[in-house]
Amino acid sequence: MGERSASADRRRAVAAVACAALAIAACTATSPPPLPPRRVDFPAQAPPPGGVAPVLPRPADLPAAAEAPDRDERYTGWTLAADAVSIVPLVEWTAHPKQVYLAAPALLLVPTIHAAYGELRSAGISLAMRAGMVGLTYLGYRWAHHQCNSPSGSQEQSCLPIGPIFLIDIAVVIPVVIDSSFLARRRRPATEWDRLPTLSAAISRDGRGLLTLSARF
Amino acid sequence: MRALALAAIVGCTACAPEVWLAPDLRQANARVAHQTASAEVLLTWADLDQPYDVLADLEVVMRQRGGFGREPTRGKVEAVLREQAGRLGAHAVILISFGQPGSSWWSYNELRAHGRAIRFR
Repeated sequence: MGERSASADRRRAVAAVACAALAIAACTATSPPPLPPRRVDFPAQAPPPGGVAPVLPRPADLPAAAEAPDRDERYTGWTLAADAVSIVPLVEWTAHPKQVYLAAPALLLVPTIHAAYGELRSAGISLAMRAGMVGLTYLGYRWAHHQCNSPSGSQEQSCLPIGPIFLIDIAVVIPVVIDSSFLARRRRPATEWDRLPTLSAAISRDGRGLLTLSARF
Repeated sequence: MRALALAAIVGCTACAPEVWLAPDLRQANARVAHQTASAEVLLTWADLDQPYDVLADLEVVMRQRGGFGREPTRGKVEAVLREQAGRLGAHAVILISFGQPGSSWWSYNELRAHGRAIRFR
């Protein structure tokens, strides 16, 4: 019996590894080739005989001040780590539903991470999802309790409540996936942009810069 | 439950692709004071011989949301490059190149591109 279960475990492990390998191999999107280093030498442009050198069209300057480019960042690792930590007390809570504090990490930890990264909207969505998760987990517990203690099921030695387990599984996985894949990201201006020297806002067509004074408040 | 699933499917057909921005300023040598009209920003895959300053290397990754969201296209990626370049005050985005569209860890339909935002001297 033990040998059979060990070989089944091994088969499942091999299947899991094969699935992970397939998932990695399925990443078919490629990055474009890297950009070359900044060009510093430009050929001296002699005006064509009897004419004016062609000038490429330049977009008009707008009155709005230029802004640093936005950069997206993920903090998926932190939310997944928080979920890994909080799932243990949540499972424990299903066995002791009166100890409400055991559900608190699953409810609050990830929204707190979103809030710490300044993503209050994500924190709100995550909190709502996790409230649903805790509620469904409790419902799953009640369902399992009812299933295993009902007159039809109570006589059996071991009770495996498939339906409630599936419900709890779905209730836990959906917020974890949405949090880690969609919500655990933020967009911030690139900070190193402020350290670049500012070019003159008005540069003459012949390439000569005009002296300007600029200040930052 | 069926209504919820249907709403999710219908809702996602209207989902615009997710845009991921990853600018690189290591090659940049200057910034400017004012934005430019992004619709007029020149886009080209080639380098230009006219002297210029580099404002940023812009990278855009566009991903389809879910199974029914709108697909990322070159036109949409170019629109994002133009918008980002305009906010920087660029005159053009040069050396634009695209990766092969395909699946990734984050989406089954992803398109990556980058280009160099420049300002003519």
